Amino acid sequence: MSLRQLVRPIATLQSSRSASAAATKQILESAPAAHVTSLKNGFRVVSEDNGKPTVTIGIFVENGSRFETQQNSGVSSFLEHLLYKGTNKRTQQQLETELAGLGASLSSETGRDHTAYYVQAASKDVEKVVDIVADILRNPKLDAAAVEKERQVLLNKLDELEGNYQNLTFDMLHTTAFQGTGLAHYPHGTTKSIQEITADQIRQWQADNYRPVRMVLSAVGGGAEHGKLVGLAEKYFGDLSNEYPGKVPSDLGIRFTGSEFRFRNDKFPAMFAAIAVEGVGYGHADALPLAVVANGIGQWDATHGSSHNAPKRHVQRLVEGYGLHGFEQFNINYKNTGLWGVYFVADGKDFENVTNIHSIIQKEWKHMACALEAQEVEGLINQYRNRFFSKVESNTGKAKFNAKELLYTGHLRSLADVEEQLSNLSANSIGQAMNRHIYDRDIATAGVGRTEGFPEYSYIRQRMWWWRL
Amino acid sequence: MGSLTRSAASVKTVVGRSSKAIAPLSITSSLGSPDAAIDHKTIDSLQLATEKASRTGLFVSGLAVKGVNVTSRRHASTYDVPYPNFDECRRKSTLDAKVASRDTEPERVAFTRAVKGVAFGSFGLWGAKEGVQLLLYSKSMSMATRALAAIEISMNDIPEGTTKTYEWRTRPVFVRHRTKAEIDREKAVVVSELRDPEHDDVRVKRDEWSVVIGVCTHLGCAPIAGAGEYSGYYCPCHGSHYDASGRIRKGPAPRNLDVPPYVFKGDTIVVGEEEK
Repeated sequence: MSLRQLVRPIATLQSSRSASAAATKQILESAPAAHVTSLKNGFRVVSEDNGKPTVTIGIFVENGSRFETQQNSGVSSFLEHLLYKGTNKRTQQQLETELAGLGASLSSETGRDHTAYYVQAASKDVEKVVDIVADILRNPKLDAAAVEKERQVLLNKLDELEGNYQNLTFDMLHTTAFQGTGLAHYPHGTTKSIQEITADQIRQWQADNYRPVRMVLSAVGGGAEHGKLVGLAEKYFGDLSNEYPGKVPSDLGIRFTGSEFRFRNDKFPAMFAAIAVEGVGYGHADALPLAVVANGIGQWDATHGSSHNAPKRHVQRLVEGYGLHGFEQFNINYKNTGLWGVYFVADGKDFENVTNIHSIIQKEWKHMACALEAQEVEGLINQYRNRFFSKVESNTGKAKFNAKELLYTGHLRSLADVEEQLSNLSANSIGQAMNRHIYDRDIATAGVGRTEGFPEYSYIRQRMWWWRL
Repeated sequence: MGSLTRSAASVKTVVGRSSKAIAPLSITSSLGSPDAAIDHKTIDSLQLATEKASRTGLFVSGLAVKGVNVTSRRHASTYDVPYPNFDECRRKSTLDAKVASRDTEPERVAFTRAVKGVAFGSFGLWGAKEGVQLLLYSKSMSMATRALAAIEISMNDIPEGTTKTYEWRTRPVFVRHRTKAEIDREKAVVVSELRDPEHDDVRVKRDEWSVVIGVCTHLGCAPIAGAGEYSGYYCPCHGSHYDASGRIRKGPAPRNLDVPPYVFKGDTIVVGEEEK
């Protein structure tokens, strides 16, 4: 702990709570509550009826590239793509017509540790939507022709992805930081694995991963009446068993390795870089303070109106001719680990410029760890509050939040709980969390593109701490 | 929810409008590469690249060169480069990927921390000591004064019945080798009659040797040894008379001559050193 923290007057840490804070709490507590029910087979239903004319119904499945191996890398996203290709009851054409008839929109995404299917629809169509989603998830056709066709799509997509430098950088960062674990695998697989995955393997994957204990149905919006949804879930998913025909999926490790990965290609338009420390899992007590700080470091790019006059001191310094195009702080929480760091794009033409960018960002991290003032904390928390509450304002945002809470921690925080946790944060608790997870911790770095001027590992590592009492 | 947007490579919409468009970092997309990358992924582009390379040589212009490796579609992705396995370089405790690195950390860093602790700790202690000493020394006597802190006087240099003067801490010190007669005389003085009553026994450590500071207690003149009415010391300034024990007997001085700290060491008297 720094000397400044020790001598900081205690009185300023907890400024007296105003009466409005209590009122906020009351309002949040009177908001429509989310109800959670667990079916007999472990399938969980969480719903929140807020009376809006629209509803988002999502099924979130714990599966993804961190459960895959080198051989079947990409199978989760392969499966997710194939589920659109029709079921035993409906062809792809029928599926699309039916959804279009409802005016609903079905989206899905596969990450490293979850797949989400969600439908945005009118609130009166809850029953039909659940019927369609259940059909997609439970009776996919997965015929050979569709598999072959999708294989080509995915291979082309691999090519495309290489042009998405940000994605490439984050994939490389995961690969090096979590080398030897499942988190190193790419969500979209490799050429070899996509070429070799068979329809049987995909079927097997679904059988082993889409088990009720690994699934959450999350509905938010009008018509998301809990009793009705529980009934629907019982009807469509109640008969799913928890028997694993193949092997029980395991997440293949969480070991973080301090390391660097550089992929130099001077034909890329810039240097894309990420440095990260090992973050915390979603349910970790320090997840919130770290998210608050990450949000406070924020992001900036050359299209922003502010530069030297930016409100943040590190932005003011970063724009001083170091060839920085933009940066963004990130905070990724998986179930039991995470990555916390910064991503930036710079022209990378000069070694000193790049090292200066690193130093300025790291200096700000150290400031947050050792010298945070109570006044700053107020601002940081408000920034996070804005971001968080606007994110959960939409049906989809709230449905994702509820599902994530259940999948990752097994219980559900209400917005009032989050607000309570936020208002309990202080300079001290944030500083302590930063000291536990950021200050003088090993880092993983990834550089993609024009990385000639990318500083070596030890250079960046030694800037994770400074002399202090 | 960072991972939802970022690591999701695929967000698709079957029908309806996607609520979320993947917007690449605006600046990266707006950047035009000055030396536009040649896309080496199609047969044509590979042939083009080969030709371009071949025609720039000194002797090869005009030659028809067929590119190698361009006859079949190549599917090479950055993602296909396997990440090397560094297990050989790992410590045993970190071989198991299921154990979080934080859990094995205390054991891994113990030795380094100990070595660093000892090295930097001792260096730090030494530095702290130096610092404290520096501060303390600045407040202590100067080196020149300290060098004169104690003087050694050889007793053989002073024959019986004579007094010699030495300088000790910028002041004169009289060392008197007293005769038997002087000793008897001084011992016999009635203490109660003195202005500053002190018995001779208190003022000397050995009867033969009287050591006093030669500064008159009146106004600080230097008395003359072996002079005055009591054949001790006489201050010429205002006429103070001291006896052979350095006691004031007559004149304006209020006190006896001061006795400095001194010890006998073999054949020498060390003035400035306390008796241990």
